[in-house]
Amino acid sequence: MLFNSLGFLIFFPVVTLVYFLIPRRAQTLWLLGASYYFYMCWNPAYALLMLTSTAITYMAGRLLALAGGEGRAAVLRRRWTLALSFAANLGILFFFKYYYFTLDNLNLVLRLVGIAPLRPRFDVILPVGISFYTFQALGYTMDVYRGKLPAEKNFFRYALFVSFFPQLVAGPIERSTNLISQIHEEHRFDYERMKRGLLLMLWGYFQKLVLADRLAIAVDAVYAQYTAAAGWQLALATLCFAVQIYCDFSSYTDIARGAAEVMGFRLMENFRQPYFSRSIAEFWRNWHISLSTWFRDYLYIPLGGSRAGRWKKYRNILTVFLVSGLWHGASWHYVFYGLLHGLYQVTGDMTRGLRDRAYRALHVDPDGYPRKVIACLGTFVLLWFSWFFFRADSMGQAVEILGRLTAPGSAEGLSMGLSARAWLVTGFFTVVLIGCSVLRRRGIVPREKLLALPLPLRWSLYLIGIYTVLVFGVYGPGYNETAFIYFQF
Amino acid sequence: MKKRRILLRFAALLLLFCLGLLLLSGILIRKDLDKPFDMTTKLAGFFNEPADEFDLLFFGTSHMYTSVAPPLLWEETGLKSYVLASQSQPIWATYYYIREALRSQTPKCVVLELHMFCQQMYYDEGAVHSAIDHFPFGRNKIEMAVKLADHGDWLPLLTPFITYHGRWETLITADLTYRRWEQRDPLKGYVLLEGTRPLSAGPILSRETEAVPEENEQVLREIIRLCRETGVPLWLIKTPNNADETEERRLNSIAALAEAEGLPYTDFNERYDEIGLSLATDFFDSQHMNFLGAEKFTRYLAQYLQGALPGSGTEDPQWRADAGEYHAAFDQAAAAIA
Repeated sequence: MLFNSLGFLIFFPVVTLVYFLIPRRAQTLWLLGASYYFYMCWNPAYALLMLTSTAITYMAGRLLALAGGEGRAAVLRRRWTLALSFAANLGILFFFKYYYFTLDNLNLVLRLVGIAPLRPRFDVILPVGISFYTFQALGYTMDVYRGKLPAEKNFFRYALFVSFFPQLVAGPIERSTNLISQIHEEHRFDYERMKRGLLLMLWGYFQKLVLADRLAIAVDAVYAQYTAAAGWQLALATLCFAVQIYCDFSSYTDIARGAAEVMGFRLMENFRQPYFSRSIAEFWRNWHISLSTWFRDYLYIPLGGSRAGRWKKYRNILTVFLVSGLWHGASWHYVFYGLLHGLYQVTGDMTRGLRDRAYRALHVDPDGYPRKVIACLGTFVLLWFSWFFFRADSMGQAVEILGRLTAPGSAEGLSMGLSARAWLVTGFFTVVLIGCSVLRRRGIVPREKLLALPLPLRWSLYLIGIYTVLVFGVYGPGYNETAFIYFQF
Repeated sequence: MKKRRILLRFAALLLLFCLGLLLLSGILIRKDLDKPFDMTTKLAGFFNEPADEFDLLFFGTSHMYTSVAPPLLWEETGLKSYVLASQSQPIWATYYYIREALRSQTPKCVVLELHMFCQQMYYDEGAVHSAIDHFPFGRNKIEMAVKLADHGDWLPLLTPFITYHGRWETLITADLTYRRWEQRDPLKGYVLLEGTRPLSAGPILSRETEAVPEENEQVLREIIRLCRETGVPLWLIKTPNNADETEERRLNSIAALAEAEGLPYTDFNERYDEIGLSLATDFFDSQHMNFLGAEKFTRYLAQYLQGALPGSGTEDPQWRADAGEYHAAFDQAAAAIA
């Protein structure tokens, strides 16, 4: 079930209403049922897979608890339990996500050597959200292993942790230490909290329907026919993509967090005005925070982090970002995207001293405002460049598009799919978005300010906000004007 | 905060929201306001006319609204009429149009043009929206939406906001100044087509019959039953449209049905000479008459009706003024040709 669907607009109020009416004991089961229903709307078979991952990691948790103690045998048992849990779940993830990717690359090699390529024996469909819930479940296993929290004994509560519908499909990837304890709590209806949650959801819908989905029209128009596009169009489309992907992703988080908040759950922040970052390292502390911190805690630090010396640190950074790239998609251009970000950070780290000296030589205060602006803009340019690789369909296409940045485009030109009015409106709302981001950066939370206003003003803004999404949002069947013109009779 | 207060607040906000949505919907909905195809004005205008105003009501498709000029008909006969038709109107829509019209009108005759009854039913986005968008909300509209929906998707047909919210991109001043209750069509639903296309072939008459699609017959019988129950005489006609052989054969089977039901039926494709229609000057395209053909047909209809349906005979300044508008439009079109 998509968040921006009529189904969800009915599902969510119904689930929430019943949630607050039933006794505490039934709340977990109700949410669990609702979450599985939510997931099964895509494909009932997916739920079976998620249940499998849930069962494996639940048992791993219980086994780890049972294998407590200091002895060598106990430690070994725990290590094996952890390893098997990881292997099983990553195996499932690998199979469903990377089967074709692996097969294609294997065939590439086989062809070079002159051996006939392997044919896929079956159709593998990528289950929605598998990357997210797998990581969430593995995070739990690791946390239990490290003794951060006791293993969850109640299977239903644990299953809800894995499948909790607001964050199931696109995050945030929650930590067991945050979410499991909340599942144990009783949740009562809170009017003020509900308003906050609904406002956050509205903001999410605004970002998704009004900005992301509209920008997607222009981006898709250019990328679909990039050979006909002029260089400036490719540049503009990728700039639009930078805004699109931010809005698309962070909107999902906002709707998830808002929905969870209405029900009394606090999910972690996933985005903190990432485009204001002054370095790529800072960017990853503010973009998809739940994933970055997951990699930091469960891959980077186990590899040694930044404690094993400079070159090991760089190796670790590159490893983490290669894996991160691969996590985003089973394709070389995603891997390259990850690698690029790894290289950005390594290079950034290596050249920091050099850059400090350069600023001093130019008599620019290294801690001053001008440098901050330059750093911010420079970081954005690096990000913009990396988005080419993320948005393209393949490495080859990405490279070709970059090569065409100075091209004039085809003679007839290419429409970017948006009217002048649409550009104006999108531009206006982007400014609104940036304005809110600036406020957030300065510690002002627009939601709180809005809720403190007198009722008539508050209600007016609620209605304006809702109407904005309903009028300017990209949704619905639309209509075809030519259907009317042609059929005048 | 107390539960009751919360619920009251929520209800109040919901009410405000719905009112605002209605307002926005009225602005954003697609409207046809440009003459001669100002169909929105024609349709909405009908429902602004006084009750029990009309002696004749014409229903059907574009064939109907390009053939009869009610102001001229009134001038000739004193009979007040309105053409309540839309392009390629799905026949179920026609049924509900008749049903809705008979709620406020007590005509002496309902005239049904049969073109769509001879066609296989199919979903046509433009035709469906033209028929339903500006139809007054009520039971008839809901039932119409369910009948006309594509794959059961009837909700967007009743909530134009969903379909047309994207029109913010192409809004014009007329969208903002449109007032449904102010709509009025002096031509009473008639579409005056300028331009001429000389034709080489006229209607292909036939003595054979071919059954119309079963569902079409079902709808026709529903309309017959409706008119019987309301006590309104029904006249089945085919306006001059250079019908091909298939259509003529199907019309023949409807003629047989009409005879069996004791209903008057007239195929004006058989009467080009009596009407005085010329293939060289009187048609806009192969299927529709132009303003010249429509004038001839309306005058012929006036003669045909004389005696059969007595008009009120009284002078009506508003209708006189509307007739004046018709003549002005006619003269303008005639001047353009000269």
